[in-house]
Amino acid sequence: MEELDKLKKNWNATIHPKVSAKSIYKMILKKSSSAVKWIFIISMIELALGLTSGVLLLTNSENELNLPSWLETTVTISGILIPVIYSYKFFRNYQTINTTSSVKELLNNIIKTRKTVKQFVLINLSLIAVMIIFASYYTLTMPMGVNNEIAYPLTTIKDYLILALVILIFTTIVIGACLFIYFLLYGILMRKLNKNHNELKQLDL
Amino acid sequence: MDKELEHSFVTQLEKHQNIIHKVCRLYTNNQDAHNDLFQEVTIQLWRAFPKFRGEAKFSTWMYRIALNTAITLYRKSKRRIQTNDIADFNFKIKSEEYDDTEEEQLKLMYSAIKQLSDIEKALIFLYLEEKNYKEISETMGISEVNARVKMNRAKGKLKKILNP
Repeated sequence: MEELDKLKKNWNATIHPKVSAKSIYKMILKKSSSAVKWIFIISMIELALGLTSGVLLLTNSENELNLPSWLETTVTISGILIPVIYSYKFFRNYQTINTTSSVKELLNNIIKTRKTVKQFVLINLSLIAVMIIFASYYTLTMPMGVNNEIAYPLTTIKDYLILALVILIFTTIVIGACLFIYFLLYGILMRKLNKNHNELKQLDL
Repeated sequence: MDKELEHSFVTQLEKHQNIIHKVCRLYTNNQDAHNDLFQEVTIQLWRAFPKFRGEAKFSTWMYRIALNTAITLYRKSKRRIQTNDIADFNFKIKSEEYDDTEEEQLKLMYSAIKQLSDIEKALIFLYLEEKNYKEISETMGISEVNARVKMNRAKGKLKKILNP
């Protein structure tokens, strides 16, 4: 290609304004604003929130929610195990992010690290959904309070269906709102990375 | 980090800074963004410098980090400027043989390259740096065959942009 070869011929003859050693010294003291830094910060917040919500669910399930013991045990185990496992996986994957890797490897490693936290968030949201469903069911249908009252006595199939529908709509709204914010945030942050990653991936197809 | 390491880094970077400028030139559309990307590349290079063993040339090591920063790490400013707004860019050609028409052609060429994808820009950059396909495939992490295919597509795309 003639035009490109002409540019190639003069490529090294282009003079750019010189950055002084003094300015370089100043630059290395500055903080990075890279996408990976933001992914790290947001992931840490997500892991911390996951851990906090796990602890909160644990506390609530024992004190207020009146859940069956098998569910309490499941929540207790998962509330501790899941954040620990995913924090370990996250840090292990994060360490593989290296700017001296090839472009494809770097993109793969960033996306893999991101996927770990994405899985963690989705598992946590699923757990929250299960908790909302069971907690709503038990709170509305089991005798509770000082007078052992039942908030919503179920006598007909219609009652069951209405209750199921209410719980379903409520759960969908809560989880849907969380997912919307989550994917909007990451959609913006990961757009460039995903686009470049897909372009390289398509070459192998 | 000790002063000696800092001094060694700054000295080498000052000497080879044109590599970063050339990457910034292809990936940004205005002087502010150019300076911003230059700084981010410098920070990433400095972070990686303690692990730089000197097995590869400093300049080769710089190519990777500079391209990786431009393609994956750098977050563009919200204010997107059109590709033909590059006239205010402060660059000149050393060669005396270069006349105004050729400088105009060069600007058009830069403008066309800026319309390529990030990956295609990287391939064109490595081509302009006279890297062979083995080096290009290693830097990009793709096979030599795929590097050739992608390069030909990028050149074809440039041709179409320049001769619509």
